[in-house]
Amino acid sequence: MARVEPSRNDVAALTAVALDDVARVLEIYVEAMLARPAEVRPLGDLASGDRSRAGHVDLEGAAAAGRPTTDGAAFYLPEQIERFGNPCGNFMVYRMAVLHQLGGVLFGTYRRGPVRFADFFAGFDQPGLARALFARLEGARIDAALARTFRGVRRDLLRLIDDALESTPPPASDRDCRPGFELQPHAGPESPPAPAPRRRSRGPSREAALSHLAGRLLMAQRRLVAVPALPRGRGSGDVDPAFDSTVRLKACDEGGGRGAGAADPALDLPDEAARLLLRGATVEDTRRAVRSLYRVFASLRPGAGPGRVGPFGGRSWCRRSRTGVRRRPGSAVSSTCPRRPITAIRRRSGSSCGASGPNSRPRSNCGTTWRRARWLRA
Amino acid sequence: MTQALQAATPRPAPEAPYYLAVGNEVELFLAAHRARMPVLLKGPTGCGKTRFLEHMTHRLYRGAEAGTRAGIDSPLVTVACHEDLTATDLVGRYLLEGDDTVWMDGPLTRAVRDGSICYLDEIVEARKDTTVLIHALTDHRRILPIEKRGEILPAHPDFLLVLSYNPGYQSVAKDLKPSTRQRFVALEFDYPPPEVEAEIIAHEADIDVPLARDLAELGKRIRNLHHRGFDEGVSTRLLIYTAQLIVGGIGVREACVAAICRAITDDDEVQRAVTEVATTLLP
Repeated sequence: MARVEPSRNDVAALTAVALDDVARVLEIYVEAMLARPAEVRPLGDLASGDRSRAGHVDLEGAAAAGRPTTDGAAFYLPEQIERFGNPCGNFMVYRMAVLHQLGGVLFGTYRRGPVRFADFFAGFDQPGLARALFARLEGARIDAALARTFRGVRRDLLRLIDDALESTPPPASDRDCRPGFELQPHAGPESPPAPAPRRRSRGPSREAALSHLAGRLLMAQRRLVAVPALPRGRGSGDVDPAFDSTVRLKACDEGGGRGAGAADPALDLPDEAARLLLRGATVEDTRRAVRSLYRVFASLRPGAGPGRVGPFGGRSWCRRSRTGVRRRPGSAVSSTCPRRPITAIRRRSGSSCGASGPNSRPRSNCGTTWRRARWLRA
Repeated sequence: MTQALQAATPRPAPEAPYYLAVGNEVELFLAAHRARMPVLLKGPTGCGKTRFLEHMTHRLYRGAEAGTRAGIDSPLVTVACHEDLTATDLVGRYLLEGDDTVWMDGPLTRAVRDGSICYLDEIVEARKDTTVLIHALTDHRRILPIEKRGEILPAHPDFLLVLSYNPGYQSVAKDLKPSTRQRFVALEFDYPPPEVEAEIIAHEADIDVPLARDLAELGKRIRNLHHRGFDEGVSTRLLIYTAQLIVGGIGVREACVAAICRAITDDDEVQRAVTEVATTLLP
């Protein structure tokens, strides 16, 4: 008798976790962590034009990219996750995705600053680019703060970072994607965004450079969370002494050193970004970093294809629908598959993103295959 | 039954039971004791009401301030009230001994006679006749009428009546009557702030402070879920149990699940969410 091997989709169907099944657990989790009730809703519920209350997140854009997001009141998550080969791992992705959004609330992303987010981004020639930079930098700051504050987060964050690094390998020539941080003039804390220099016709694309930056941030975060957890309260304050010193970021913090990766040459991370991983970094530091780095990125030629975002993005955010999905009229849809709401995170597949549902069949024109092709072209 | 009630009261340890003051409850209690005012301890379960009273009893009857009270044999008489507890159980009864009947003091009578502190734990659980009984003891008269013996027993000068109850989960029918309530100085207890609670956990379970801080933080987060099926969240006592399990070699997560998650609720989803909170906070 011939032995029938289960297909990848069969395994995924067994190990995937659906939001409907865990939404209440996540809502209780959020309520415990945040001390107030909050809704957990599918990304498909986001309506066109939705914006977060703080205005720094393009919710529709986040939904189009399949990234978990929040408008400050509700937490929007993919309707299904099948990133890991077991339900516990996939539920962990949900929990960490919610916690990452919670981190924005806990660590001041939404705190009212001297300048409203809308005005801040409007000050740039390309607000979309500024938002993209902000998302990557602020996400890294939040993850570092979470790992520093909650000791149980490190192991799961490390798993997600490793998975993100593994699943989104850098382009063939990673060094070519360096945006040339060393060329930028040092921006003061309150410097207005400098006008973009003449756009280069050659060199890395903007998206490749953003992906490069996100990759470097992931590497730096990995170093932070890979430090064996030391008891909180040892040393000064509540911070493990090894936590910061391992990445030697303090030199950067205290010396105000300049140059790419002054904190640790191996990190190849601009100082402005590296500082965000240090204890005490605030959302204002993120704004300064955006101001500082924007000019370099704006000078790059535009590219195509989604880039690496962080532990919760850049992975295969597969576009697929589930039967019985709650949707509002005008909910976000994929730019590549217009009829399909963006609902699920799914493990990268070599040939296709696959699809779920009783009558679905793999489609080769959506999801990761498309992304990989674009990356190869980039 | 009387003997069983009395046996439940442990003799204070040679060392003062550990208690970390959160507010001015110690000063208030000392002042109330000096003025012989009865005291009502209010607060959620496992927040330290009984421990506080044990600590104060030791201080007043065995510590530097004891004076002549040091000679009192049983300074704290504790009665765990329940719905079948009657006035007779508190005051005493005649018992058959051979061909005779002999009078046996109840725990309240004994405390009134000796000058001990009588602690009626969860008083609202007891039958109504018991609360009426204590009225004469808790005003200026300070007397205990013993109906069956036709005796009026004046309270020893050092006698103090202390009641406790948990207002969180009592029904209206079981609430204290105003006529009873307004005879007491009320001390309100709550779960301590995380930094104080961490110190308590570290002391009681003999664990390192960082882990105690994590457990206290876990307690704080779980208490945010007060309307998710459990009004009082997790008690300091349960957090100490968790720490003691960890000290005993149980894994952190397993200890949390056993001592906290399964103990506080039967709702599977709440249990799971609480487990995830523990996973987030604890190493």
